[in-house]
Amino acid sequence: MSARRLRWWSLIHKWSSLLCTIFALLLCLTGLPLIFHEELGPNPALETIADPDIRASVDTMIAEALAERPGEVVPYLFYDRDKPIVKIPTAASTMSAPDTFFYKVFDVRTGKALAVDQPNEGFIYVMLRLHADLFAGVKGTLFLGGMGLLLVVAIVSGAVLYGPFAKRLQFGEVRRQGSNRLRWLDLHNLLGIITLAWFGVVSLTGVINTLAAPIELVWQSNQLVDMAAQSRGRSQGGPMAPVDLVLARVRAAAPDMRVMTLAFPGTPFSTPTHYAAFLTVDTPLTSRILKPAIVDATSGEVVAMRDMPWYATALFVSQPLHFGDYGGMPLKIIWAILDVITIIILVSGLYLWIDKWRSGGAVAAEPEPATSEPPR
Amino acid sequence: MTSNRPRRAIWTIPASLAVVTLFGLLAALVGEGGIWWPLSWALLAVPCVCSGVYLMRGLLPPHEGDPGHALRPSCGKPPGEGC
Repeated sequence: MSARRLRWWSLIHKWSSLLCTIFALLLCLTGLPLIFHEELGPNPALETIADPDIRASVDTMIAEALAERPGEVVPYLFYDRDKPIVKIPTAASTMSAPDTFFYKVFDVRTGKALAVDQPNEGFIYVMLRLHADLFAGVKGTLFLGGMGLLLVVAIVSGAVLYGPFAKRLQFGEVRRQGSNRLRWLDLHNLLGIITLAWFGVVSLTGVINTLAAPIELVWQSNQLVDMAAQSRGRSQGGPMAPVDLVLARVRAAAPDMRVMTLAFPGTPFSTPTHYAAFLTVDTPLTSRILKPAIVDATSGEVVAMRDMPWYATALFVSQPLHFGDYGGMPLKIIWAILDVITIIILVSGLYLWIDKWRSGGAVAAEPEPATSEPPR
Repeated sequence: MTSNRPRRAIWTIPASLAVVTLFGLLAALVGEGGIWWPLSWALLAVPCVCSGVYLMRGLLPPHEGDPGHALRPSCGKPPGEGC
């Protein structure tokens, strides 16, 4: 690599890192407890039932949830991927923001309400909001997406700089004889190249996750409208079909799939005259890929069911690769260890820059160890 | 410290680590049950263990036998031109 190119890559690495380091640190620190959100968050105690496939009436559960919150409506049903529970939120309207929801959690087998803390309160919720949107909604999410993109640039430029850096050092060699700076320069480069693939994948999938809102918008304005249009002329108007009937029709239309979410008519994920059910198949990869079914609100008839477009599938597949929640507790522990290593890389990068800045930039070009060594 | 290493020598271990990590990430995602989860854990433990070992070694106090003990002076040429 020519000296000129090397300088360019050094500049790219320096500025992309500097601009995003504080936010990257925040993301790593808040991401650490989020890896264990299932263990640390609200976790209801479930009783053992003789027939695990039995299902209680969802309409009864909804009535119980609404009786506690007079004047409110139920916008969604959220089923759990692993536990036989359903979260039933109530809100002022079907268009209310999710952070205003009041949740009641039920055992789907017995229909009994479970004593669980609100999922939009407490330590894990604060960590989630700091990690996902800085309490600033879609704007905050997109801002963090921009920071994530800078982080990806920093990772790529760091990998490019590793080549010239490692020219005169064996893999794993850390110069401990010289200054602290040299030691941490070597450790920063070494840990960075060891965790390159993981850090790259987690950063990139994090950026993709921040595009959830625009992806939802595109899906709503294209696919949802298109699917609902298939029922034109069929909707009769009148009272809404019972939720139990809607769920039974959806399950009959897709017997191999599981309903994960049911959006009630009038939410951003349905239409004023349709329910929208989101289904998955139960394998590690496909359990993340949602398939929507549009249901006529009056008759309970399934109007349309189709796969999500590629951009939504990319979002769904990127989620587990970002969360690390698809391989049991050992995978979560591995995620946490690599997250801590990443924090060390970020802090050491910051230290190297501050040290260089305080010494007035007197330290020579970083990537080439031969030029950054003190003379013997 | 060694003389300029060929590109292949520089990238063999980092590229292997990247391949191992990517296989580990995909094994638990694409594979269903059986060996796939333990395989994923074993593969992803490699960058964890490497990081831990090199970090601990790097944080040790310096002594005479260190590989980086005998430092060479800078050759003074611009980076990338070799010495």
